[in-house]
Amino acid sequence: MDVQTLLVMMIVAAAAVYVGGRWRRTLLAARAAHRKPGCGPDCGCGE
Amino acid sequence: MEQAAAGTISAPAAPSPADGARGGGLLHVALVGNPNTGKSTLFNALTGMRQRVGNYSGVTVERVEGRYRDDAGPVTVIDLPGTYSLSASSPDEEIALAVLTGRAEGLPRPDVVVVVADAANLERNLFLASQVLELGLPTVVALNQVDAAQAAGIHVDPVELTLELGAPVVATVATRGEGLDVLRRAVRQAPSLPLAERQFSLPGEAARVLRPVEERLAAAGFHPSAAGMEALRLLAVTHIGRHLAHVDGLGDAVAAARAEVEAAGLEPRSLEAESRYGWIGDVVERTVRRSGTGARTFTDRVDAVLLHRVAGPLVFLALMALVFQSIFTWSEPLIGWVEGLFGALGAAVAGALPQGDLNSLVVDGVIAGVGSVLVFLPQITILFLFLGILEDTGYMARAAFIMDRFMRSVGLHGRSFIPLLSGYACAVPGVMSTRTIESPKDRLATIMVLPLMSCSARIPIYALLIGTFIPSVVVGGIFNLQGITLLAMYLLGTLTALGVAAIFKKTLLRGRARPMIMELPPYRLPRPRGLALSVSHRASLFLKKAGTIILALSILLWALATYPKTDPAPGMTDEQAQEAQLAGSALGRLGHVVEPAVAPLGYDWKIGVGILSSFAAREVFVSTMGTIYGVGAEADEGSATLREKLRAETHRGSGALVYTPLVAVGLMVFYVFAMMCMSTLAVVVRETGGGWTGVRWAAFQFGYMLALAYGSALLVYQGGRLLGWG
Repeated sequence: MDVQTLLVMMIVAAAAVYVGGRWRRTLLAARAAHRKPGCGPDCGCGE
Repeated sequence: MEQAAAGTISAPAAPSPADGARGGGLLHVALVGNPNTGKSTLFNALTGMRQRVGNYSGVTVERVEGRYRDDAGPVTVIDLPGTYSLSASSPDEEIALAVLTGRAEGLPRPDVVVVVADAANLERNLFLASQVLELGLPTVVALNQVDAAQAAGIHVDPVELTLELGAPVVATVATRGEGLDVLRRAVRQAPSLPLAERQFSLPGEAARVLRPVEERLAAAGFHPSAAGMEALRLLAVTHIGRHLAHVDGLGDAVAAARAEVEAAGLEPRSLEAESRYGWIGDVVERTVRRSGTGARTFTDRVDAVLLHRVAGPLVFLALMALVFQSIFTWSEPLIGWVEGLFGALGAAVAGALPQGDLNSLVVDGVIAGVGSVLVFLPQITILFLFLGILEDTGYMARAAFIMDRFMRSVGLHGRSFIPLLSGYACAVPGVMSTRTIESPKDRLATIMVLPLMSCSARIPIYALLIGTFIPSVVVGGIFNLQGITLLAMYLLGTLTALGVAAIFKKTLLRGRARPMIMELPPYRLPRPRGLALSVSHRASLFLKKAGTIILALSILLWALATYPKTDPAPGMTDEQAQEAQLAGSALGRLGHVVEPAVAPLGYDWKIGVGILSSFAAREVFVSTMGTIYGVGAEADEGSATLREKLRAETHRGSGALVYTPLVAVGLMVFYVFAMMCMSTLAVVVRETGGGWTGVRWAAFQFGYMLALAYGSALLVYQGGRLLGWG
């Protein structure tokens, strides 16, 4: 495997981890309904 | 920005009446006031923060915390939701009362309360002030907007008012920072001053029968004055409030007191209002001087036209059409410039990096994907600039008034307007601001239809499709077809929201319509600093989203469009090889799976993939198109823009154009109705009760909106074809 392919794989894996983390945080925020009202990611309401 | 955990009221706990400021110079200050008194502006002026402000009521819907420092130490300021009284009849009023009585989870009882009162509407503002003064807390009254009051011929004497209320009154003009130093000193000194007491007396019988209620509250730790205020308040309300749930036998004591008050020939529900307003009338007479002839003000004259039953809605529509038209007219040169910038960047990077997958990832994935969304930054900036101007001048409050007639006709609560208006920017804060609606059914109905309002995430899609497929021709002499089309998309969403709400209010969420009391602020010139802050905030959110989730999704979509690799057959042109690569990739295979479902709408598999990927966030549709049409293409200075590629796209085999104006309109209609936003779904789950209850409501909302989107897009495309438009 050449360096370019390795770099591409690392970048794609990092993007996948980031997107997965965002989904997880969004779902966790939804589940914590009564406890702590706040904002969804990038919602624009200030959090 | 730092936000306190809002909306939670603690379980019964030991009371903690404030006995003065805490040690170490740290002071906790709560800011309360009627809606639209400039409370958030004062909060920003005191703390140097950028809390959102608006020239209409209901902007602050949850607690926001900030800090400043004076000579004696740090001061923490909590900006509470605007409220007309401490009746706790809506969730936001309940939060305000819970904070002031020291029962808000995670927050200490404030050391000082600053009541922000509008000098031009002193009578109404003093109702809340008189309730707060009885809470047994050091209180300062900030008499705000004295400049506007004086311009209207209303002169309030702060010294005389101080003597009447028994608490310091400071005249302020928060927008210009006037009176802030005096206010800060008054706040620091307030804990050392004697506490104010009730300045009026109740009818003898009422005072006697309320005593047992007051005693129960005092035994539970309430300050004697606060116990008196709560007892009087409880006579008029149906629920005692969660912050009093721990007081034993309170409900029975209140019921007994209410019966005795009625037996004495008094009206328990209006006793507090009559007593307070009787006293307030005397105070206003002694402290307010009115000058002028009572002639119609500038605001009155303008309102005679803008609020006219016929002219008002017409002016509103014409104004909106001009705003949407200018979005296209003014932004076109800027969009061309940004497109050129990304084209040149792509070419430069393509030339600098060695040929291979990394080159393709950066150029076709990142630059083409993120760049295709970023080119619409000028349009978003211009839209929010115009909306900011309309809001700052006070016109949005008039728009609410005009819309209220339509909202009442479908059974929606008048208070639903501000959340629906917030939905034009983003549905998430809109859903949260439904907390100001008292009735759970009205609140749920508003939440269910709110995502139908076109949010800013739809703008890149509308802008891409309108700018590419709708001709820029003049309509009616002054309007442009592109602006009219954009206005039509906004109106379609808004009118459908009202229609769907009407159905909900007649079926699932049946209930009577409630009137809205909304104050119309005077017209004023927009403040450039506030506008700049608001527009830069929206622009920075858009850039942040492009630089995070859209970037990450663009990279993933590039990978799906690139792997597995397909070797070009001998004799294939570059274009055919690119098409074969896309078709054989994971994304292409997925696209062909969904193609049968979207084909009746006139879409090819690439649009199907764009729709699928935009379930995370709507703008991702545009970045997906940028990536799909970028993969495999040669990037150079003369590369076609995404808009040019979409215009040239043809169906395999037939060679017919994929994108016709009919397909573009159908696609926009699909996005007007489709609920494609993870953040909104999450907040709907939370605000409709959380857990499985919330999940069920969110799933119902997602389902009905998707069905509406698919059905409408199908109707547009197939109906248009039948009429010979496609």
